Amino acid sequence: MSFDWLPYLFSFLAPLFSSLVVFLFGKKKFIKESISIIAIILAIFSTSLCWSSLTVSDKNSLSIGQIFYIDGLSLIMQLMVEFVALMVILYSFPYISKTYRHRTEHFHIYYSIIMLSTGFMNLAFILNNIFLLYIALELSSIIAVYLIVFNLNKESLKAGFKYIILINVGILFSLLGIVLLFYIAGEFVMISNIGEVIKSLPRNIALLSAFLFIVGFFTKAGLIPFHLWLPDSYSESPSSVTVFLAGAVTKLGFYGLARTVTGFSFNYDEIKVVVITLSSISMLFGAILAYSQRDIKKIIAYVSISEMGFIASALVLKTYEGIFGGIFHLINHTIMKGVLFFAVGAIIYACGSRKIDEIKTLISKMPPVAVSFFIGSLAVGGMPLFASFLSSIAIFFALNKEGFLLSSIILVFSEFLNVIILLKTAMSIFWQKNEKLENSKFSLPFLMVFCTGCFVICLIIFGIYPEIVYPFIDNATKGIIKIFN
Amino acid sequence: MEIIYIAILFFSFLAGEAKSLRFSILSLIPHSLLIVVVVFIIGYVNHIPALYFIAVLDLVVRAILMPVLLLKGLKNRLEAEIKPSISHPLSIALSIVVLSIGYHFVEIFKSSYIPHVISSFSCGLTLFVYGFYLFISKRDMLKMIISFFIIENGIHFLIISMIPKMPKFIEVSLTLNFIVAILFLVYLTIRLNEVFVREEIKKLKESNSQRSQL
Repeated sequence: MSFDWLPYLFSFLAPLFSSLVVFLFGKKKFIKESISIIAIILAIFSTSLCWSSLTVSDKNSLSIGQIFYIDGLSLIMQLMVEFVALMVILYSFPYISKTYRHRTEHFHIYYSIIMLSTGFMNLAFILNNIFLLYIALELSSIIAVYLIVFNLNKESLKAGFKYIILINVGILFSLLGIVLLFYIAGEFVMISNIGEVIKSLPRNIALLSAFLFIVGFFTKAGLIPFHLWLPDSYSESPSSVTVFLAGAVTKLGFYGLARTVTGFSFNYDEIKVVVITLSSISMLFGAILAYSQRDIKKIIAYVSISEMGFIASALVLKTYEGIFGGIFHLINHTIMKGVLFFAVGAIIYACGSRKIDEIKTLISKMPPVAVSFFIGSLAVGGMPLFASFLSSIAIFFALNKEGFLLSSIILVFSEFLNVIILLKTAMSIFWQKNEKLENSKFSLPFLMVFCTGCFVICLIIFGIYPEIVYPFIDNATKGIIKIFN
Repeated sequence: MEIIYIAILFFSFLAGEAKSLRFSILSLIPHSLLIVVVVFIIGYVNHIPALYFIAVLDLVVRAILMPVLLLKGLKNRLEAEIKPSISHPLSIALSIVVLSIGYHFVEIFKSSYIPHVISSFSCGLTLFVYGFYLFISKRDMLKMIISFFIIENGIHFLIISMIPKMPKFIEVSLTLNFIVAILFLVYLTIRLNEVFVREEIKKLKESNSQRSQL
């Protein structure tokens, strides 16, 4: 029996194993950080190895028995989660040791949970059986609640409760959808055969299952009207965890959408209309709700909901351009949220508050943070030279091409609203006449500036040289189209 | 079997609508025990030995472990439910409507469209719908966990009735997920109760000191 495929599995084995080691021995100095970083590097190496095998193969996918199915989408999601996890671990090192000093005894559990969640996510991205995918996806979401309630104050506990109960109940709808598919198909539904199963379904059953999947994965992604958990969870968790939630955990919802609902939209136009309508509501109301917030993290959370509407609407389009734009925006969304939430983390680190009115009086000069926040805000607005410009414009044209003119107008309008609210916030914080802001300078730990800088660099490089990421996105798009066409 | 299904629905009604949380949680024990009985009977009648294992697992997890964990959530708090968003008499009436008419309609749907599924299907789907109704109408954290429990039991029943030969591994993994979720939920409830108690004590102390100053 050949074990050539074993290195491919390190993408989830390394984080899972390291999680156990960190949990058991992580109390000693630097063990938790070093083990976590080594495990993530191993996972990135494993994903890269898999990528090189995939590009050599002419089938656009790799199958390991009936258990694993790896295509471009799996690998792009894995790389994204690994990168986010690496940045979060590096950022957490100085951030939580100051801001959450009262929880020093539990830092090793914090790192262990990040690794465990990363491991389950990476496992979910390559599993072929939809039941198993659901189990890995749900486990990774459930355990992330520990990170949300890490502060253990009243607000964070409430946010954690809301997160776990809403996510669990919502995601049970998608389990019901899976059960229905299994019952009709009479066999296990796999990622590799889901396209054929969907085509063979009676119309009513197909629409019902698609509805169940939409409820489940929209809740997971945090789109309106299933978003109730998201603003509180984002604002009450540590900023490093917020990046993990926005950049990795919510992306599982989109992965689920791309693996199931996209297939239904290929065969039934009603599904496409429903998803695009709900996404347009998310785009518009996310931006509108952001206006009334006084908590800087909640503003970004609502802006994030608005942007996630772009991704969801693009993923159900039948065209190559639509899905390509959706996946590209998925990556950009992760990077933009990384920039913004890390910058906010630095502000909280310096001022100890999330409320804009309090920050205004407490803030000192922090040029790297100010620049990063402005860049992140402009990128959210889809300004030229940033990667989000290309992805937004791709989604705009794809929506137009398929006759969703109103949605494309809402997209542009909500982008405009988003950039206005973020720039207004940035200006009120960094461009105000404050004696403290003019005279005193706050120096941030190197790792915090470095991690924010990494995301900023990605945002600019992918905007100027998008050719770097095109092959990955192209492969992922072809992977999705191959399954459903 | 029909009697057992109606009894399961009756106990879920008690769990959902009782004002005393302790009574609600205790109602989940006969509810879960009857589920165990049904799973065992389905396994016996349809010659699926794997379901015996699932019945034992259900007995341990759903009938014993879960109520014990939920009772722990009552620590440091009043045993009366926080006022729900729908008034109590109306909620009772709605529950009866959802459970009786819902069950009746699901039975008709089942016999006309999917007659081959096992009879527990109607009970499972009714539990799912009823659990969801409770979830959106209740504001008490423990009641929300109870409604999640009922939804989960409904899904469990649906899986057994639609896919009775589901591999044990998947059933066990789903149950594991369920345990982890309930563990976290109960942990959060206990911690929140502690915080509320601390706040009350603080308020009491403050008002006492103000009174003594006056």
